Amino acid sequence: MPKLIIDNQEIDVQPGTKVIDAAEQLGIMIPRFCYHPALGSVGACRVCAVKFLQGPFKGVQMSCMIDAKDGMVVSTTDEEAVDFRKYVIEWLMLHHPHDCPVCDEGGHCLLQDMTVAGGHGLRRYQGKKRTHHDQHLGPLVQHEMNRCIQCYRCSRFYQKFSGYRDLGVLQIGERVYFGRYQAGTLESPFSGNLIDICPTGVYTDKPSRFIGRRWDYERTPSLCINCSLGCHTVVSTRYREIVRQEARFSEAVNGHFICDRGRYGFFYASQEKRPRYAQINGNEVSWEKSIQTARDQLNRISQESGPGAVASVGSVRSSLETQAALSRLCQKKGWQGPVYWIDHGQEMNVKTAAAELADELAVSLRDVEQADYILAVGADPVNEAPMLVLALRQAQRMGAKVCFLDPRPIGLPFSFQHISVAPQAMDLILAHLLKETIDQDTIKGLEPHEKKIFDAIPNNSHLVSSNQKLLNAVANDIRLSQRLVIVCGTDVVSETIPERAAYFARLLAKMGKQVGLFYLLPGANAFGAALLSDDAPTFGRILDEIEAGLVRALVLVENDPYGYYPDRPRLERVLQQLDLLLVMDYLDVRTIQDADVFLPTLTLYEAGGFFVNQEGRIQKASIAYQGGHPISQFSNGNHPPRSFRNQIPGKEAQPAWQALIELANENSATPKQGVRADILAWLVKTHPLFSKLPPDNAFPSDGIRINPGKDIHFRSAADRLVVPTLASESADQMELITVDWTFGTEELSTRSPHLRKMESKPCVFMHSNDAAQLDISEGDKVAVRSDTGIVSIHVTITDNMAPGVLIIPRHQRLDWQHLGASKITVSKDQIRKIREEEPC
Amino acid sequence: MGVRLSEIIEVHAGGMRDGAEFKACLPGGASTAFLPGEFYDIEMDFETMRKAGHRLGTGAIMVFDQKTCLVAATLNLTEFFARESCGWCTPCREGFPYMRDLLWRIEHGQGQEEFISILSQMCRHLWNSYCAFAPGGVAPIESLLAYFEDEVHAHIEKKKCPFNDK
Repeated sequence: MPKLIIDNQEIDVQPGTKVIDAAEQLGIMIPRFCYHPALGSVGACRVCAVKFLQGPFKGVQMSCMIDAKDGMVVSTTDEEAVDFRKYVIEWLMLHHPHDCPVCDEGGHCLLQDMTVAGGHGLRRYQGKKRTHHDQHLGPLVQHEMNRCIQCYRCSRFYQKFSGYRDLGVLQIGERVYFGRYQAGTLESPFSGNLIDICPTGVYTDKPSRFIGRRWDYERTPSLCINCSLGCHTVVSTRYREIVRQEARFSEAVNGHFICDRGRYGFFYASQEKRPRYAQINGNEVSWEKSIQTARDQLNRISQESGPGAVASVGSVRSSLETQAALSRLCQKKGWQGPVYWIDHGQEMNVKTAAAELADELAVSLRDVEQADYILAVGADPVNEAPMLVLALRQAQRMGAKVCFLDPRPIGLPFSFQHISVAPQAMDLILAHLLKETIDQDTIKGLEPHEKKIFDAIPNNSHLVSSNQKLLNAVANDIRLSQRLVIVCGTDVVSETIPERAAYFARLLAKMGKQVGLFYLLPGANAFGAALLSDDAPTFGRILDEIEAGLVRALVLVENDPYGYYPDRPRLERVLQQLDLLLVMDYLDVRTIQDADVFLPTLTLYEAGGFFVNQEGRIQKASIAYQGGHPISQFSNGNHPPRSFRNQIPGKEAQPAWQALIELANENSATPKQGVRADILAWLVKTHPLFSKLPPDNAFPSDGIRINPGKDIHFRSAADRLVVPTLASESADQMELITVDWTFGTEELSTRSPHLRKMESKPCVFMHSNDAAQLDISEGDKVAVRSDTGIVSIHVTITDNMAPGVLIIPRHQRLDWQHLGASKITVSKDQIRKIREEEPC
Repeated sequence: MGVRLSEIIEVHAGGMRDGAEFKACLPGGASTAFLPGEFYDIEMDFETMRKAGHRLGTGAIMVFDQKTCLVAATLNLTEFFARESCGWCTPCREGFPYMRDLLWRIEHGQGQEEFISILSQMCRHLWNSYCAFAPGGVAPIESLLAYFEDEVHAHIEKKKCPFNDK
């Protein structure tokens, strides 16, 4: 441990610590512009100069470039170093515009802080300021190149760190320019991070432009719930409205960055269309009346037809508190549910994943960066969990190889191997890969039940032989690697894959490798839902029972089946048959129109709460503000209303768990205090996993990982693993799968007007061979006929996907819910080219 | 190696032109310091030059006579360094254009006394650049101030270039 002295204070630091960081550990903040912990030291800005008095270096040196060493004596206040740093500020200010009053960065600008701190107040330079043209970089990032101080953080982040190439540095010397070759929307789905890392106002947040200063905002630590990774964010609130979201550093999860879907995905919370008042049959009523009516009717139905006539559906985007309150309510009343997934296959995948993710296999997003080999099965990171791309990229930069086994056209900003096979064939290929990889000693040492699974893997099929060369190379790479991570999706994969992936991971661990397992789940709190959902009913069975008249009341808690159920006509019909449809939500979901009783609930920003991410990490979001109409929507502009009232308009909404507790109580006089504590106490009693939860005020920033492992009893897929599914042999059949897209499919972020501008048009992806066979060209419109309806859609042709597969993103502007199921098989005569003007 | 500067100029280069007197030279390209008359007989090798506080550099000798304004010559050289800086680090990218601006003002009669101290401080600070480009590039300015400060002062006092009669 190097020991050095900085400004007369002695400190021991870890070997490899830079002097700038050693000083920071002492509380001495050496100025910096180019240095960033995630981007490393490059020594470009020269503002972190300090004087080395003793030790291996002498004189003025850059503290970001030098590792702390024994015997160093460093002064940050030495006259020569201070004078040099003052000059650096003066140089940077030669051309920086004096436009702080109209610059959106003003108030949280590192250059502004350093200029003031360095005492540079008088301009000596008499020359002109140099100017640049700005570029249009799309709807999210505002470009103002004149403010640039050439720290190179943007190009280093964009190209080196993330791997995207369309923004970088051009020209030399004084004419250095940071931007794109041509103006245009940034291609990286991480472009918003430019705003966070730019030390001044070159890149500013476009959607929140000119709304306020940093000090006008209330800033609250929060979480991103736009995918299952649970990245940390900071939300800025003004006048009852989130106006900006930024990345918050997390050691374990997202590091310094977040993706654009997360950053700009919050606008649903202040949507004008957001339902804010309780309703009965579409008419606004008081919260109390709604609760009373719902409770009376639910009790009546329960008495008349038994408690099983009431079914409940929870949501993977609800907080753990809401999920727990719903479970408690169902248990107390004897209702069916809660069911969390509309698609039963997905439900089984998630539950298998949660059960398989043993503590010793679970790895965090940051751990993925340390891997030397990553095998991703049925995962499409950019579209399903964007921040995983940056983690994979860091591993790849350190030399890791990355291989994808997936039917989709995977797009990543770095090179990787892609075994593109149809979803049905994935398990066979994975099983074969496993067989090729595991050595004989490990096989001999297997327990009988594990050996049985191994022996059941069939020998070569035509699928394997057509990919033989690539599979051999991958198997060889896996054998040579030491620190593996298996990433496994739960969306497009068949039911055996999540368990097969875990089995593979366990066997690799037996071979002495360090192995991590990293599942992707659908929904920010899908893990919590897996822990708390009832195994018995499925959504399909509930619909059957409604049709049969057995279920008469349905409680939908923050879940909109219209978004997910793949047979819309049936859903419409079935919901009509209910005696009572009770809907609770904070989104303007379609089911509100059908609801007999509606209760408005609160978002994560207004209610806070716990969310369990895909690695089983419980994390806490704080309350950012109290609900109600944003002032901007309520009084024609940003001025607070001029009429006085004794409550916030539109504040009737309550957390969903509050509504559920009120429903559980027999009388309407519900104590509103301490109910959340009740749920948490109940949660602890439900499962010992939750007993680890520390109190709110001592909850660690990076959360707590709870991995139930096998001791939580989900239905196991173990028996099914014995026989891998075989792919369809028919050349006439095509597998159609519906998938997620970065922008356009996820229900929260698609309510952002800014992300809507980032969406591509709905399309179906098709392999060029299939397109040629069907005589279809790029951009043609086709009608895909299923058993339940027709979906008409434009075709995108690509070569980097599996042949024999149709891939349709579940675009919010596409009625894909006429396909009948999220995965179907269609014969080629069910795909017909149509003329643009032809009605579908 | 070791041939005297005077011999190179007088014998091998054919001597000064008629009416021209040796004032100074850049002994080794644009990134070396001006060598004034007192070093006229110096032996041109690395060691002797180093002992004298100079560098042999590339060995491309540029001779200036008594009618040449060294402020203008330095301005010209600084123009080159300002243009050729890669733009990576702040002192070099911004320092050279700043010094070019100050030298231009001195040369064109807009000089102020404090420019001299700013120039000399900035030269010292450009040694803290990322690479060796800037420390080389400031050598002409450093030596202009070291050996020909009077010439610089004359520019400032007369509010014009003394070599330019107009």
